[in-house]
Amino acid sequence: MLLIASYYFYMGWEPIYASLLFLTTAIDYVVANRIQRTTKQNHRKLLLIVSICCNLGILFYFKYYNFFIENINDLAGSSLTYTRFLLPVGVSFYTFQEMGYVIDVYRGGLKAERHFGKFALFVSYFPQLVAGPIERASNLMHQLKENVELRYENFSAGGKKIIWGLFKKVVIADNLSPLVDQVYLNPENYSWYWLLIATYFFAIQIYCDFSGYSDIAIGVARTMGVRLMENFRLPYLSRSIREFWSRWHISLSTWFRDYLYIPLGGNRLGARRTQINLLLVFIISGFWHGAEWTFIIWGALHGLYLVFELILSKRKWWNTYSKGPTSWQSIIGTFILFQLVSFAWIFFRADNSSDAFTIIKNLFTLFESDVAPHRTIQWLGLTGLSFKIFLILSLFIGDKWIHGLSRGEFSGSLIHRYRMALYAALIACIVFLGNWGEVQFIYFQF
Amino acid sequence: MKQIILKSLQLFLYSIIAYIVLCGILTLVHVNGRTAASWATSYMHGTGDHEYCTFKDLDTSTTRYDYIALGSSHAMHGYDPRIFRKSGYTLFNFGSSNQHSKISYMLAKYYLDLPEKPIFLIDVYHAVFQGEVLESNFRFMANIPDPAAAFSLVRSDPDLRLFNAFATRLFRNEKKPNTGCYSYVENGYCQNTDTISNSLAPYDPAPSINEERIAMLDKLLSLLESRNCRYILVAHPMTKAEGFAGVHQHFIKSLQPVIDKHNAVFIDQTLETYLNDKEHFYNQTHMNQAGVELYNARLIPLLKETGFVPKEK
Repeated sequence: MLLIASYYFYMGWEPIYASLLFLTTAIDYVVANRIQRTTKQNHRKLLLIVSICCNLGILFYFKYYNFFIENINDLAGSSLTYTRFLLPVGVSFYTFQEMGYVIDVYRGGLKAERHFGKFALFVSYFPQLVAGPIERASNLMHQLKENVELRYENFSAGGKKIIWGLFKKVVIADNLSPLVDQVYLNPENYSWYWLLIATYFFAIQIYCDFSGYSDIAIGVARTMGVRLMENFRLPYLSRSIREFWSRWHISLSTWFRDYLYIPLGGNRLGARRTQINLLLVFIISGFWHGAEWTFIIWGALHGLYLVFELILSKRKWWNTYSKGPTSWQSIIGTFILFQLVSFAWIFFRADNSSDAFTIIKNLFTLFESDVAPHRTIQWLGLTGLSFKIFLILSLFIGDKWIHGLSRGEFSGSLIHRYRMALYAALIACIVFLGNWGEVQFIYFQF
Repeated sequence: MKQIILKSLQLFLYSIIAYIVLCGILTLVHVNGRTAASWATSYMHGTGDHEYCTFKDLDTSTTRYDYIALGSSHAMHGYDPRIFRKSGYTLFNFGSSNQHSKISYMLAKYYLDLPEKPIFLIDVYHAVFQGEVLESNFRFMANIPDPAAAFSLVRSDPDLRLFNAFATRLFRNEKKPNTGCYSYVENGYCQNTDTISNSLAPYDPAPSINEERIAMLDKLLSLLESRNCRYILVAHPMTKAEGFAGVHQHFIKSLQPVIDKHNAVFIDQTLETYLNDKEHFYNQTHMNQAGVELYNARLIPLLKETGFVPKEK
């Protein structure tokens, strides 16, 4: 039943691409079972390569083919033709989830699933199919085998997650998006302060958009008694880039750690090799997000930040700071981290690298534009801007409260006693303040 | 299961109370002359602007109108009552930003059942037959005096934002509008004297036309026929931007079944070339006052030629 619902959900966008989902599922089902039955190491390795090639091949063809053709055409002056296929929604997520599963079976850490329907459900489970979290079979598979039982505890916990996720998405992210979109559409027309505001707003927008989606997915699964992995843990409150990546898009960062960074040698092959591994993993992570140079630069920047932090970690003061910073050190650390992450977001959000460099140049030269801002921004004025900043503050307070409540903190406090009123207020805000226009989830494009 | 239903009901009731409180606060609290709701959302319009002045003029007017203009900003900026008056005709312009056929229908139904049976000039323009633009709904929701007409806006385009805009009306207690009527002249007409300074953007060759908007135009024409009101479809000249002719032809093709069904007369000046892009338009799609004067001077004789003049004149 859930499998049919999942495929029906996926086919709602572009029915034909359900066949692609089915194809990768069938290949990985067969390969994983063959790997389990084969004892010869060479055969096992060959089967693993077949699975990886199939998954990456599909990903390459639908997501990266045009990027390579464009660059080859630019470099060689050739006129190779582009593919006209649309990017299948969620292809980056489900191919990675399947590859993780096959690698786990290959490593012997997981038994291959014999029941095709159950494996197909693991791949296509609708709450997390299109934008994650990228689940591990060891966490999800056994839960999907259990009967769905409607229990109040699950319904309540899931419902709370969905409400908070919706609030972050439609009230915060979608209300920040019009300003960000206008400024990033023609960045050369905007003064440095608009560029700065738009960049900070985008940092908040993408967090609320993506973590909002993750919360909704986790909440929907939870109402059915399935616990998906947490994907975000207040990442902007981190004090270092390393900590940031342990709190941001956790399902992807741990995937890269387990299936790429560690197999590359991780930090076991000396300092230089660790730095190269980090850089490589983050460049690939950037490329995973999108077939554009901007995403590659974004990934490389984060890689460089981590390499720099690795060098700093050899200093005594850094060790003192990372183990137990004072309040002031924490505030300064968090502030610097937010600047670094926001700077990298410029590349992530800009339409192309030329726009990104224009923004950076205009930011650092305090460029003043004589072009009138778009009417969306004029209409906003200082009061509208203050309201958006108020929304952002409510995010940080809300995130703390909601996470605290879900962990059973605040018991006996006012927040705990009046939590029903708090969620009712959030619903009222979602209905009244939500931007219910045609705003998509940012991560659907990946 | 029982607990789930009971708690969900409790949350639902709490949410309604919270919604009423939030809506009340954001409507009653004014910041810098506007309701907090209009600052807090990207869609909510406060009272004021040309729709406010239009209704005020219509409500206080004792004139018997020969013509009523309906349509988008093309109508609002395209049919000048002063020019019509010089030719001996009275005109009230009910054009408004992004006014699509659903809104025109609602206006005709609730506000324009006039005893003098005016002739309706229905301005048609491809962009308001595309997509789901709700700007006009929000503007009317804020300014339309009749609550039943306002509620019909919610019914015609079911959208949470429209429902919210309707809810704020219930709390409103304003002595004066939030914003002024900046370019408003009289009888619903707004004038603009700017000229185009930048280059014209090319058009997407095949815009998708919203069939529902076409169907609403059909319904509007049927309504006017049932009231024995005469109507004529009109379209003013446009700038000569690349690809526009194709877009217009595509639009006319979509409109043709309705024109044929009602045997409607259509004065289509869209591709006429007597206006100059630089002198007679204030942007790519809208005429400025100089353009309106030339267009109206051409239109009035054409109305006479086609017989669309008041019977007694």
